[in-house]
Amino acid sequence: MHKFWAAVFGVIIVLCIALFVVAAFVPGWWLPKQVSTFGDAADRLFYMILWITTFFFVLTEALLVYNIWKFGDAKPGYKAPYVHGNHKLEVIWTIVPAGILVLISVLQIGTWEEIKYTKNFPRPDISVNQIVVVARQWEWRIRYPGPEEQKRWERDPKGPENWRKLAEFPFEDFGQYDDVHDVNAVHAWMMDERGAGRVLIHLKTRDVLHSFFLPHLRLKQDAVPGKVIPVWFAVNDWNTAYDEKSKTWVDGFNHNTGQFGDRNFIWDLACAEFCGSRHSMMKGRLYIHKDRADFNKWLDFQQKAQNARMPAAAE
Amino acid sequence: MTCASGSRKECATWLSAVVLLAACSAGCGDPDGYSPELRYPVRTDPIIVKPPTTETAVPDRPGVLPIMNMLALNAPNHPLHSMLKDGPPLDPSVLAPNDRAVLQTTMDELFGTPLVPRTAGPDAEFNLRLREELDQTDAKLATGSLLYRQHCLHCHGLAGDGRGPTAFWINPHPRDYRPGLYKFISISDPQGREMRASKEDLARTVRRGLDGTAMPAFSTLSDEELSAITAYVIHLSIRGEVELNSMKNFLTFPAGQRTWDNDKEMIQSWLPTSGDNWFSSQQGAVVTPKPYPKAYESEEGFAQSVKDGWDIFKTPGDKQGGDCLKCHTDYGRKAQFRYDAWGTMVRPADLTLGVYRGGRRPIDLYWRIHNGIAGSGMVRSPHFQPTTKDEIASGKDRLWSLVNFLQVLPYPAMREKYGIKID
Ligand code: HEC
Ligand code: HEC
Ligand SMILES: [Cu+2]
Repeated sequence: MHKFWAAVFGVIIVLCIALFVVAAFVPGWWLPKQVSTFGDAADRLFYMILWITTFFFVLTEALLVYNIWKFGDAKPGYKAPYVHGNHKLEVIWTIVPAGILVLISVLQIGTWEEIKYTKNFPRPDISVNQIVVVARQWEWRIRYPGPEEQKRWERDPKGPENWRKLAEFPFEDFGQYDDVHDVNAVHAWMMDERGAGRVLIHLKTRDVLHSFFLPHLRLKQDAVPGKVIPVWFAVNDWNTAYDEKSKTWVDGFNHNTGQFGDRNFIWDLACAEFCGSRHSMMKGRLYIHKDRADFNKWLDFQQKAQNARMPAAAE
Repeated sequence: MTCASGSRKECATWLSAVVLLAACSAGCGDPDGYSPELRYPVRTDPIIVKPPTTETAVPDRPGVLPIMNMLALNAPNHPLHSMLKDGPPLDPSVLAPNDRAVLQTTMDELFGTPLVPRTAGPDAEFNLRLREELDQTDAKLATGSLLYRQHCLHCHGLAGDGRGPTAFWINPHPRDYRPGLYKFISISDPQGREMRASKEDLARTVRRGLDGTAMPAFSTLSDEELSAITAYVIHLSIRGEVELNSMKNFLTFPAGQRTWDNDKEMIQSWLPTSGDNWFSSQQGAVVTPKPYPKAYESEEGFAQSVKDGWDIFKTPGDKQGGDCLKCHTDYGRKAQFRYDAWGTMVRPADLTLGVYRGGRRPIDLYWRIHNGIAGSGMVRSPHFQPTTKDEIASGKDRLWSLVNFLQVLPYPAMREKYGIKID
C-alpha cells in the first residue's frame, strides 16, 4: 500500500522536473528574450538560484520517496519510535542553508548595485533619455521633454538637470508647456557605442502602489504614493520602425528579417503590484527605436499629433 | 490499489481531486463568455427627469451613486424637494408586472442577448444603415460583447448602465450609456439639437482614455477590436434609449390612459428614433474649426491672442464675454460640485492643472468650447468663431484665442511670460 504512495510521489516529481526541462524548449514557456545591458547578470543570478534549489529539491524529494518506500509498510501492532532529534544534524541543516543564503546575498550585490544604486544612475544630460512615468489605476501616463526643450538643452547644459528637478518637485506636477504626452507606451532608442541613450525614468503614482515591470529588461520597480523613484535602463536591441501601412511606429519589428509582427520583438510593460480590479490589464509596450534620429522623428510626429488643430490630422 | 483495497474515503478523495483538475482545465480552456440564458435585465433604477440644481463643496460619498437615492427627493420635506421643478424622478421598480414582461420580451426581440446581441430594425433599409453607418453587424456585436465583458463591464455594467461593481467607488462615475449623452464629442448641431457621438469619438475615448478620471486608455487593443467595442457601445446606447423612452411612457401614462394601442409597437417605434439620432451624429456632423489665424503664428500675435483669450475668459456674459469664471470659479481651483444629466456629480474642471479628460490637443479644447460638454452643464459656444464681416476682417478668432489661453494657463513659466496673473 505505502509502496504505491512512494511511487505516486516519485512519478509526480519526475514529471515536474521533466516539465521544467521541456519548458526550456517550448517557445513562450521560458524566460522572454533579454535585451537590457544588465539583464544577463540578472539571468545569471536566476540560473544560479534555480540550480541550487533544484539540487536541494531533488535531494529532499528523493529522501522522502526513499523513506516512504523503505519504511512505510510496518507490521501490524508495530509502534513507531519517538525520535527527539539529532543535534548535530540540525546544526548542519541550519548552517548549510544559511551559508548558501549568505553566498547568494553576496553574489548578487554587484548586480543589485548596477541596477538600483543611485550612484550608477545616468546623470541627466543631453545624451540621457528622461521620461516621467505616472502610474494610475489602470494605465501608464508617460511624458517626454519635447523637441524644443531638447533643442534648448544644446545651448543650456543645465537644462536636463532642471527638467529632472521639475519632474520631482512639486509632486503634483503635470509637466511643461511643450512636453510630449503619451499613454501606455514607453519609447527610447537603442544605446549607441558612446553610451548615449541610457534611459532615466522618474516614476510616480497618482493613486495606489503599482510596480513598473519590463520583463524583457529584467527590470522591476515599485511606484510608491508620494515618492518620485528614479529607474534606469539601457537597451541593446531594437523593435520598432515606421510602418507605411499604419502610418505610425509599430513594434514587433524584427530587424533581422525586416518583418513586423514578431512576438519576440513585442516587449511588454506590465504592472507587477496588485492595484485593483483591472491590475492584470494595466499593460503597455516598450518601443525601442534603432537610433536617436528615429526616436526624434517619432517625438516630432507625436508632438505634431498633440498640436493638431484640424480633425483630419488628428485621427 | 487504493479503491480495490476497500478504503472508500481515500478513493473518494482521489476521485474528487481528478474531477476538480479536469473541471479547472475545462474552465481554463473556455473563452469566458455569457450563458445563452442570460438576458439584458429591464431597468430598475430611478430615471432623472431633470437633476436638482444645487452646488456642494464635496462630491458624493464613495460607495453610493447619488442617483440611486434620488427617489428620496420625492418626499416633500426633503431639502432638495423644491428643486424638482421639472417633475420628480420616476421609479421603474413600480412598473406593473405585465408591462415589465412586454418590455422584456420586446427588448429581447429587438436587441438579442449578451451572448448574441443584435440591433434589429423595422425594415431592411434601416438595418442596412445600422450595419453600414454604425457597424451593427452580428459578428461585430458578438466580438464587441465579449471584449466589453472583459474590459468594460465591471465599470460600465452589463447593460451599459454605468452601474458595474466598480462604478460605485470611483468619481466621476462611469458613463451610463442609456440616455445617449456623451461629453467628449467632435460633433455639434447648428441648431443646437442634442447629439450622440461619432464612432471616431467613442473609439478615441476608448483608445486614449479620459485622463483625470478612472476611465483608462485601451491603447494596446487593435483597430478591429476597438471598432467592435465601439459598435457594441452604440448597441447598448440605442438599447438603453429605447428602454428609457418606453419606460417613461409606461410610467407617465398609467394603464387606461395610454395614448397607444399596442405596447409592443410603442416600444418598437423608439428604435428608428434612436437610430436616427445616431445616424445624424456620424462623420458629416464633425465640426471643422475655422482656420487658425495667420497672425497668431508669430510670437507677438500669439502673445496677443493669449491676452485676448484671458479677457474673454474673465468677461461676464452680458458684456459679450465667455463668462467662464461663473462656473470655473478661480480658474476652476474653487469650483463646486453640481448634479449632471446622469444624476451623478461633476465639477467644472480645474484649468490650472493641464489635465484634460477629453484630450489636450488644441482641436480637443476647440471642440469642448464650441460643442460644450453634454450633460455637464457647460453649454456650446460656437458664437466665438468669427462670423460677421468685421470679425473676419480683424484677422482674429476669439475661439482660438481661448484655446491658446487655456494651453498657456497651467504652466507658471508661461503665465509669467505672457503676463497672466491668476493669484
Ligand atoms: C475603471 C472604470 C472604467 C473602465 C474599466 C472603463 N471605463 Fe469608460 N468611463 C469610466 C468613467 C469614470 C467615465 C466617465 C468620465 C467622465 O464622466 O468624465 C467613462 C466614460 C466612458 C465613455 C463616455 C465618454 C464621453 O464622451 O462621455 C465611454 C464611451 C466609455 N467610457 C467607454 C468605455 C469602454 C468601451 C470601456 C472598455 C473598453 C470602458 N469605458 C472601460 C470608467 C471606466
Ligand atoms: C455652466 C457652467 C460652465 C461654464 C459657463 C463653462 N464651463 Fe467649462 N466646464 C464646466 C464643467 C461642469 C466642466 C467639467 C466637465 C467634465 O469634466 O465632465 C467643464 C470643463 C471644461 C474644460 C475641460 C474639458 C476636459 O477635457 O476636461 C474646459 C477646457 C472648459 N471647461 C473650458 C471652458 C471655457 C473656455 C469656458 C468659457 C467659454 C467654460 N468652460 C465655461 C462648466 C462650465
Ligand atoms: Cu498597477
